[in-house]
Amino acid sequence: MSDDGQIIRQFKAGQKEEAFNQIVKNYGERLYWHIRRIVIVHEDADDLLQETFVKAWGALDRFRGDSGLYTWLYRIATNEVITFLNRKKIDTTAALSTEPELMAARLKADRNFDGDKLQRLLQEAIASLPPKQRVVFCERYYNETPYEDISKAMGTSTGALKASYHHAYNKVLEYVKARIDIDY
Amino acid sequence: MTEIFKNGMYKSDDILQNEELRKAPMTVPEGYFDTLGERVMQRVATSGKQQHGTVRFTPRKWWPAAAAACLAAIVAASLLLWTPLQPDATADADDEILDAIPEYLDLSAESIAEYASEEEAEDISQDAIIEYLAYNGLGSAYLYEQLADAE
Repeated sequence: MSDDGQIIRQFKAGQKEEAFNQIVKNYGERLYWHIRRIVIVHEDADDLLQETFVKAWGALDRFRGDSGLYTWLYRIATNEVITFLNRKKIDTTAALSTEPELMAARLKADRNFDGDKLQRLLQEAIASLPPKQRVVFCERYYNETPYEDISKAMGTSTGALKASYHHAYNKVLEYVKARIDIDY
Repeated sequence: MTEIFKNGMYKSDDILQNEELRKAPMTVPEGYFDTLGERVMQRVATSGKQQHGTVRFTPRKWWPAAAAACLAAIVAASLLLWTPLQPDATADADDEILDAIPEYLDLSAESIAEYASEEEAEDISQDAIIEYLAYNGLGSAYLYEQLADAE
């Protein structure tokens, strides 16, 4: 993997495409999974990942290196995800369906999801969480990302994030437990 | 089937601790990452954002933003002192968060410790909870009032 500083210098020196292709190669897959675990559906994750890189392309000239390059990209991706989920919430309200109901329908038809019923229940439960809480839950539950790192991306204190995670955990657990017997 | 049962009983009451569940069963189309770079550059080309970015994380001149923030804080403090709390304090908050306020405010170190280490639970103070709810669009003054009413 090339040095981030070298890639950024190359980008700012005008070799933008070559440098940016290296960034996508270095961090694309990691960012993808960060996004995918939160939004769940591949097509949404793909769209948000590409949008993240489009925004990064536009802002990279002004990147000062106050944080690492991946942390910076992660922050852009997280903001894109939260904006997307907030927009989706408005659409869900208009459709008079709940997020878990819509997610259940999508997962049944999704070729890129091969989980069993318990896994589907977990994803439905995650879909029921408010956007910011969803991000925190996924980061801690799946990746065990340190609270300090999540704090840098979301701009809130670690104490507040811990409160959010533990509340989300309780909600997800109760959602799954309440429905698990129905599916058996 | 994810193995959480034994003889019809949950092996553990906390289903989420099952390690198999933490492996999200998601796949990607074959070759997706191999062609990602190409698709990103196509999107960059069509987005019209090659010259001008829209994201600014570190403003070059911080003092106008800081001055505006100070003025906003002074105005907000004045309004809080002179006007009664209105439902506007919740206007920007997510409905889920609004519904969950009582649960959040009731979060105790004991309940959090069920799923967290003692060390983690110690850091979750009432102020941290208030801060998180404020981050989600609720006025912190409104929240402290809710706390006082609950006591």
